[in-house]
Amino acid sequence: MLRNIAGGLRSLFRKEQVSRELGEELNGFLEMAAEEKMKQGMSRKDALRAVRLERGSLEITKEVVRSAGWESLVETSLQDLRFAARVLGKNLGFTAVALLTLALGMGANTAIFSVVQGVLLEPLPYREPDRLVMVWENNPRFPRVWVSYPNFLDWQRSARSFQQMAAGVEHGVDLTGLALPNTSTASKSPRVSSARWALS
Amino acid sequence: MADKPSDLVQGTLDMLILKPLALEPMHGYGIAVRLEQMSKGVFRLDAGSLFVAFQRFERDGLIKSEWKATENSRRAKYYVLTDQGRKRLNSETREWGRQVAAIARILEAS
Repeated sequence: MLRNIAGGLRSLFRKEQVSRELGEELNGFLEMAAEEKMKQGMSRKDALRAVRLERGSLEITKEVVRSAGWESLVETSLQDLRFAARVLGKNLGFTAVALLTLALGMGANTAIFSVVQGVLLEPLPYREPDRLVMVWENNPRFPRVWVSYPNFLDWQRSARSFQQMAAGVEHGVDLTGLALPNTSTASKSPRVSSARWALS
Repeated sequence: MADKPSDLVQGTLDMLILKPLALEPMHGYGIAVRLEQMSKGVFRLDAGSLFVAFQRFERDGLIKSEWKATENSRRAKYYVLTDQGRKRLNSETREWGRQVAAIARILEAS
């Protein structure tokens, strides 16, 4: 495994030398085969031709051997990358539009996911969020209406379905100054009853 | 060499190339010639399959190589079988024997 990687890296980084060595070895192989044929009376030209037919040509064989190792995959990928960069560099308008599209797409995705994560996926910041329910008062005219504090106290005392109950009230503060009065959102944080803290 | 050379049975190439090397270090052409002689011309390897196999063997540590002069004072890369290569050759030869025996049993049964 390690030797395999080392061999591939050698082919990648000492390409010239590896290629030259392979070329010399293959050339020797084909020459020896041709010599054999010349001994049987063939001319050198005919012998070389016959060898090429029987054993394959130098260049093709070199290519076959080169493309057999894993490093040829790296090499062709690099070639593809270089080619892509060149083409993109030539069409700057297209490149800009493509980049912008990608950027917008990623940005929008990230934004949407942040919201989904916060609102839907992340559990509420309480100990057992799946056992948490919200209770409302209900009457024919106003479904889900606010609870009066005395009612809440009654519920808290006599309800058996809940381990604990807490109440909260939304509460804004009007800020006035030189400009128009403004209900501060920062001050809208609800006031809560004491048991609320025990729930968290 | 009556018939034209036939293709190798798949999976036997490794074994066949390693075998001549078990006797002595050889260069690529030497191995090709030896295989042709020993098979009486049935197997003729092209340079591509041979050298792809050498590259793989060398990376798998089955063979080592060194440049030396041939008897005709030409420079050639000689391949030497390593211990690991010898082990591989033995296990492949054993497995091949098992398969040939099994095939023979099947064919003789009818």
